[in-house]
Amino acid sequence: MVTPQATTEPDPILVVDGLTGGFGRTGESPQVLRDVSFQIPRGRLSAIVGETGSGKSITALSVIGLAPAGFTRTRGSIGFEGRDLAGLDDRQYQAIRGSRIAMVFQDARASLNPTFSIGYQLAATIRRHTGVSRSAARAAAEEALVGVRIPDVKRRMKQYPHQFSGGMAQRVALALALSCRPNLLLLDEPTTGLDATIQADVMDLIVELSERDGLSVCLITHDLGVVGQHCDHVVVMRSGRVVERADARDLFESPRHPYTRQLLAASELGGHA
Amino acid sequence: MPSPGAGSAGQVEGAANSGPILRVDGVTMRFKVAGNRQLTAVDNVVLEVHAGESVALVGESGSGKSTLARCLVSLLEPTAGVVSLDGRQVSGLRGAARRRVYQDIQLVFQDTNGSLNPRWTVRSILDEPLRAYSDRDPGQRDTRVRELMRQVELDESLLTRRPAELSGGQRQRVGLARALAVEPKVLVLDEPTASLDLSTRGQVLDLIGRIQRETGLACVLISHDLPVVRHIADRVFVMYLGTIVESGPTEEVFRRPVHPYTRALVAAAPVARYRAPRDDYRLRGEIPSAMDLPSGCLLAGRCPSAIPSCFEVRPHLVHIGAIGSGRMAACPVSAAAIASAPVPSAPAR
Repeated sequence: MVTPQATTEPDPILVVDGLTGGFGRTGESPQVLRDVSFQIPRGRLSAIVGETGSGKSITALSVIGLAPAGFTRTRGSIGFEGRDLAGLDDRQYQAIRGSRIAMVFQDARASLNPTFSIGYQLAATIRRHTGVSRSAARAAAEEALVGVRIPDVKRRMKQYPHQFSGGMAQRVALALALSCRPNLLLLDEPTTGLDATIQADVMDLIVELSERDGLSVCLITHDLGVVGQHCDHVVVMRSGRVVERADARDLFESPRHPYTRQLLAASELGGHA
Repeated sequence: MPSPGAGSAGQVEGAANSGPILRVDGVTMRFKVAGNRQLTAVDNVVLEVHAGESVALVGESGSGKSTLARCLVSLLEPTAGVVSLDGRQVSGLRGAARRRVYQDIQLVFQDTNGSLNPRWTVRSILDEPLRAYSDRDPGQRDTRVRELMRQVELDESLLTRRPAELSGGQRQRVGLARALAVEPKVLVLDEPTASLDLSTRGQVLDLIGRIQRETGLACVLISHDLPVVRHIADRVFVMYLGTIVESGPTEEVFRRPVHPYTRALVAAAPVARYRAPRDDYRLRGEIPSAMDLPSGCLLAGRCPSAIPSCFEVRPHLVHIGAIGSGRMAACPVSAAAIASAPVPSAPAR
């Protein structure tokens, strides 16, 4: 396996450049993103790593055009497939969100509607994005669930979110996100709240899907274990700034920023090598 | 670095009897569920904790660790079995006798948002157990509240704040201070760091370690975070579907797990290194419901090492002398493998 250099990715899928913004009318009080720049390589797994308040989530939400009301971007661009997403209005974004860039949110069960069956939700989403017939959408929904290794799909289609365990709900959320064949998938803390044994299964699935479909994946996480195991490129954020960008191997083996070193030490709790 | 097993005894001076401070003998907790069925959350658990010692209960969600914790602090009355504190039986007590027990064993809750009254100030939160459990006058209580704040390394200026005005780490420290207020002998910590950021997690753990060294407190840690367990616990008990499947000194259990469930847990724990070599030992599927449990080994359906007999007989926890003292596991298949040949240990992490 060749590990390409991170800093000059030949053909990145996403280029965030100088993203700056904050809350308040001027976007400056308080400022939560300060000159955030990074690139996400195509067809591989990357991660944005940071703790609470680092700005990692708001960066990801800005990329799919869901930054919270009250957040104002004052500067910067989000380059994706040859356009700057930062300038798009809500309607223009709808053509991109879901179909080109999809996001799975942290609490998978909370992002599913408890009052509709899983099959109905999936099919409705597929119809909304592709305009296919009901029966075709249903078939595509079944296929999507099979694709994320959910057993007994016919029965599962009729079930409701509360009948799914955390790991299974995470798979459904993945199926939902992948159902419209996006090129870039953002995963917000995909394994938080799942048991380690289930985490490993979910991550294996994500890696497999990425390899099979050439999908570019960006994890938003604080779990350096998952990052070290699976990611190729890492962006470390703190207090709204990018403090380090590196290939995963370099980041873990020779971290340059003191904060990165601190995070690595904190993950291992003094280390048990 | 805690030396497993050995460091525990000498720390508390004049511990009247050298017996365990906390004894759990055959504790079982069953719940009635709709349809006249039963859910066995904790099944015949036996464990002992000595003064100054830290033990951890680990397992996936649904393994019964939190239910057991609630039995330990008498928030739940076990269906069967006995919990004893310092030689006194705790289960079945009522009224004043039970209240005395609460002073000896305290629980730090996982969710600080749900366990601290949002309308109270930090001062009232810390003052409440003192009013309830001591006859200190207001001045003495105030002194004690300040002492507690120092103990958990919080600034006194936070006394007038409410939980929502604190960070996650600060709230966890307040929860800890409240538990310490009545000077318990045993502290039960239910996922104390689950909601904390990485850097805060380390600080809170160091604080717990320091308080333990200073006070000779025994700790029962409930966690699924293996690095946290390794950091704190002298001994570990691995739970699966309400039963203990393996126990022993933490480092030894994690370095050389015997039970397939422990091995899978250790294998699945992510290590913050680039492509850390890992053991590919995986369980199939997810933890089943604690209702209608099979008659054989509870793990058999998910276990990569299962043989036909595993589905018939439920194995008991037995000593595995071949790999050191204090090791127990409930897996005859692995035990036989160890007895016949030295098992390759899990890759060093």
